[in-house]
Amino acid sequence: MNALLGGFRSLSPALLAVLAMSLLGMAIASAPVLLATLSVAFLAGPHNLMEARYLLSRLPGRVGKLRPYFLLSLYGVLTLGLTSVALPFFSGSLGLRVWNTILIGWVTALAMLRRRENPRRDWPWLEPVALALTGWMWAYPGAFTLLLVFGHPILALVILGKELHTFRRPERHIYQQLMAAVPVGLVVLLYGLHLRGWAGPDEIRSFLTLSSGSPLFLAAHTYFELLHYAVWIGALPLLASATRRQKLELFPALKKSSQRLLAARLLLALGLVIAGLLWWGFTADFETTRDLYFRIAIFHVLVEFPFLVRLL
Amino acid sequence: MLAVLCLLATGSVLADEYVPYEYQVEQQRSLLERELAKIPAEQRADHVRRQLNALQPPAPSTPSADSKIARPVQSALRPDPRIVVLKEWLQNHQSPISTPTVRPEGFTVPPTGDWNYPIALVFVAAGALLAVRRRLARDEARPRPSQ
Repeated sequence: MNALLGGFRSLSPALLAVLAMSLLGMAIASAPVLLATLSVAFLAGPHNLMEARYLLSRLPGRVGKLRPYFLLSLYGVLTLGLTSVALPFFSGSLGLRVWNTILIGWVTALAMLRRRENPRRDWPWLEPVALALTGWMWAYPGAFTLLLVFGHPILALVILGKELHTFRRPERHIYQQLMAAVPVGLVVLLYGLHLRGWAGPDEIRSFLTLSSGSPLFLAAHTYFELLHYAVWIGALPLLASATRRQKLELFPALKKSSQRLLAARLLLALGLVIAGLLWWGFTADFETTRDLYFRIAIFHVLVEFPFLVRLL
Repeated sequence: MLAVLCLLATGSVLADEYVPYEYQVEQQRSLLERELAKIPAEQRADHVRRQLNALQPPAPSTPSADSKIARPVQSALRPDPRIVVLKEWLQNHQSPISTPTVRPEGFTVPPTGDWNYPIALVFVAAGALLAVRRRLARDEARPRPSQ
């Protein structure tokens, strides 16, 4: 009996995760548009706010030798973010290819700087993989965009795993089970879409071309986005609370400078105002607000790369 | 937690308001494509016209008082997505071209210039060469077992 109970206890996180992901998949398959709309309208703003808090917590107290790394990060975010806003004004796909090449080059350069910090990080495959990826992107820019669109939500799961390992939390053992449940929910979602006749060849074609009208694309993206929001709004703040890092005064970059602390508080207050404005905007004019949000959201996607590379 | 629940409840009540118009149009477009796939090609135009007539009541020849009142209200609303999609289909199929594989809206393949594949090949080749070079350098640096 005790062995059975012990076995159940060890299985329960995995079962709960499978149940939760399956329910999520079923819910999205039954109302993809509604859930996509509600998730963006209600969770996009708060998730950006929590992400800004997390990134502030990961900034070092003194930049010192890391100055080139953070300068390159800043220049990259600004250059790529501003040029991406201008991309729709260029016709053809050359602009997109060049932008993607700069993105790959920037992330590779960050990884090269990270490699120099410690001889343990040899990474001889770094440049060959980056070059091969660039080549693949030049041949199939649409596929690369698909990779970015779905890779970004998954990035949050990777960051969560790295954080659990960095702080040697006991939950890191459950993390693998949670990750294993993600494809299960996706399969349930796809089956639900199939039952509704939304998983045929036309839908797959629309999915591969990132058509916003494709229920398959919308549903799959909503599934990963909701996991992304759950990590940023739920899991990472909980982890910060468990490791007693939730107070701004304790952040390495802020604890010795009252001016920086004030600036961070103002920044977060501004974030709160923006989150409120987003909620209001989604109620008043959903389409304009959504377009505006996704145009600007590229900045938060870009900011994640330097912090992810630092976790490696 | 209570605030989040209240927000979600408000959102669920107002959900219809949030469903973006373009998604409704896209959904209708997808439904129409599926519907037409079951109908022989030569009967599709008639089918679409019949549907459009059923959805669009004929305009009255003499404007009544009711229609005068209704006009500003109608102009403030967006047209029925189904009507938009049916009209669009008819417009696209007025020409004598009747290719059976019409690409759906939103299916945009960026024009691939002839030089994109050579550029891709150069990158891949450079990556492969670098990988081989690194591998050889590593093998060279590895201490050889003494004979």
